[in-house]
Amino acid sequence: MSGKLERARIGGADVATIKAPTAVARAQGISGARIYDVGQGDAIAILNEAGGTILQLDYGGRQDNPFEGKSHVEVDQMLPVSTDALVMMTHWDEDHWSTAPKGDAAKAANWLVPRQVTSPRAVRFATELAKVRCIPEALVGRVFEYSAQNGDAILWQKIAKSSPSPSIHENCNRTGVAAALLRRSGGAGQVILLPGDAPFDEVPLFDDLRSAGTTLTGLVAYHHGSKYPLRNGTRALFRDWPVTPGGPCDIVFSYGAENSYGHPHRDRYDTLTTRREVATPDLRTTKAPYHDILFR
Amino acid sequence: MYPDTAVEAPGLGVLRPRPTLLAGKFVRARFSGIRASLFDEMKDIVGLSPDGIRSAAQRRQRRAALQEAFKRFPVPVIDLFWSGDDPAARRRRERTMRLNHWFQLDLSPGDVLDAREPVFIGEPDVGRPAEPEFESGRLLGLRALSQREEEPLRDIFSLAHVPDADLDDGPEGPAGAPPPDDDDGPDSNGVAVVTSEEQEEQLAQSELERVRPTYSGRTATQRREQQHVTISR
Repeated sequence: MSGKLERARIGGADVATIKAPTAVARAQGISGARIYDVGQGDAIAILNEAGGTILQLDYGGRQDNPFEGKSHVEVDQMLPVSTDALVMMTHWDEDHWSTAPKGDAAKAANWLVPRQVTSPRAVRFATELAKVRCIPEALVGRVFEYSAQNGDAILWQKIAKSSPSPSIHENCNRTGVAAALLRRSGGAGQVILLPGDAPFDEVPLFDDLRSAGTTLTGLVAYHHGSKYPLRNGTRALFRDWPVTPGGPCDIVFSYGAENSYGHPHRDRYDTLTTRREVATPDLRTTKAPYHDILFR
Repeated sequence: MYPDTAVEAPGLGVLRPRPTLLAGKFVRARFSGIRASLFDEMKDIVGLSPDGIRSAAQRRQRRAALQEAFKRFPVPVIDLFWSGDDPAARRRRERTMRLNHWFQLDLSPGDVLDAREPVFIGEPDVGRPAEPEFESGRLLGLRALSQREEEPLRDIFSLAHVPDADLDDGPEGPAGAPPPDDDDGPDSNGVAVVTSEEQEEQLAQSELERVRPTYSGRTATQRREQQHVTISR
């Protein structure tokens, strides 16, 4: 696997203010991912060994989100982002960034985002971020790795190029960023998959990780549990992917209750025979603001 | 195309009045944009960049201009509903809706209870100036813009003001898996047409939140009778 996964670092004057990789490098280890209940959408914190956020992946939440009527301060407390944090956006769909304008902390952070064709509202939001940078299109497909001191790593990849022409439809779900957390212990290691809205089988990084012999500790269902595209790639990917010993594979469905899209479609994951399904709307009924997927 | 149990437009609350159409199956397309009558003014403020934005100074200038324009011009969301049971509505939808394109919408404000294609317009973001014409209405017309018509819209509403990150390769040089083949290319006509449930699901989400609602410049007292024109993608 080491031959395929490239170690990369952020540097250079144009991104001098991007500090999150430093926060990751400072961490003793990565304990896992915290999936917040944001209604329809995604907001995921990558946690260090003490449970602190070292990188925020998406900051969204739309239908049935818990932020309506909350003050800026309350939103900052519900989705905490430190001043030196890096917020990475998987793609520009509004349910992956729409909570950021409701608070102050996220807007002040450093953002690393995919360059995509996007909406006027997303463009407006991008003008409000003082420290935002795009992933260069020349680096599409490349896997980047941010490592903690014990070798745990955040791996990410922009999986496809943005549309080069107005006449070509760009599905931003499939041109965005997918990420994985890797713990290098016990054989090839164990992974937690964070695909954004991209189908699992369209993320080369995930295929590399499976081929490398990693075990699966947990994942966030892509696109809030969507069943599209209607093919069996995701089911096939998980059919032969062994689960990390010590417990079932956590599958978190992050969606809004009674959403009009019909999410989630749990049958996409039924080839994972040892699994524990967690739905974010259920978290709210037990007054849990998030669910943590933790390495074993 | 899902049975309606709790139709909500985020930030807008449960829809009131509630169109009869929403008692059955329906399809929602969500758009965002700017009033067409204001776009020329916005274009003047921001400035087109046919040769691209390349330098840091150009990016800073573009960002400042966009910030100024967005202070002045609201970017409302528009929720457009079609019947999911009516074959004629489906044909109209499939004939017209093309993903990733801008559209011109003709809208009429007023009662939506029995509207064939009801529309809701508003500005749901906390802290934004209220959209003065936040209201319900009905769709009169929907037209995909030509590529030539789209060019200035794509120029203004882009991320061109955002610089690339300098993601240094490190000492090992470039590697990693190649990007997958894009299977979302155009159909034989060169455009993607809404023909599947998946695309209808996409319609309801923010891939298409690129509407440009346009209103004629009539006075407030005339507004209830005026025809609204919207452009979106």
